[in-house]
Amino acid sequence: MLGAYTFYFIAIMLMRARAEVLRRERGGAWLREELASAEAAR
Amino acid sequence: MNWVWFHRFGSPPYFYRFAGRWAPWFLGISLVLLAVGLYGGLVLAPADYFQSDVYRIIFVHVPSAYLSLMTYTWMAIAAAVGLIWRIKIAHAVAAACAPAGASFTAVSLVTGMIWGQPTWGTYWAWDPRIVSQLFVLFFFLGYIALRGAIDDRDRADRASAVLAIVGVINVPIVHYSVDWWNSLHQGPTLMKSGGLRYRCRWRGHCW
Repeated sequence: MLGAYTFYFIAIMLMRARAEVLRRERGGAWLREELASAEAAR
Repeated sequence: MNWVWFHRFGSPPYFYRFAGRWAPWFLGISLVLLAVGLYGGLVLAPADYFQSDVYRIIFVHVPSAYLSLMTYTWMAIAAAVGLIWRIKIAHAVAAACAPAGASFTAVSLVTGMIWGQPTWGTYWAWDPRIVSQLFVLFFFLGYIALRGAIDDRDRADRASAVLAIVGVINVPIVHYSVDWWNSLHQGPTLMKSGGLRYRCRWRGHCW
């Protein structure tokens, strides 16, 4: 259970930190390219 | 030691791609482990002689309590890294830790209360371990509130980082509270020398 909770925490932390980066870097050229390539791959 | 691999995490594009790639894997592994752990705790483990099935709540309570302290420590380290080296990603990581940590702490307190009523005869006791754990929750909530109260992001990062670092002093207090004061809460088991025997088989048979 400790392992399950630890992996869950890491996953949630990465997802939330990624969303925070998305908010902070809004307008950044690299992010526009990243989102555009993700959209193209879809 | 070569720290280049670590320095890469300071780059927003690198971190963004890393988190996007690995978060689903960590989530998947956690769900598998959770299923195994719950099956072991709720089905395979026998009922306790004294407490019957009530004791099974420890399979949720103990990991929650451990993770609340681990999350706070990690949050404080990330906040200190962000404050000292001015790495924006570190502040983002610290901010990401707070809601998860607050949830773990709340779960540990609530499950402790649910267990406390049938075993101690009360939902709440002004016990050093319980009160210091409640302070962990207050520090998490204070961190979230402080970040939300300041509009300027850099100022919010710095102020909340200071709060996170100040609050880390509570982590050893929580851990050692059962040793330092007379506590209703049981003493340490996992981190005690000569304590829990790790080589336990399924169905609770230890040797």
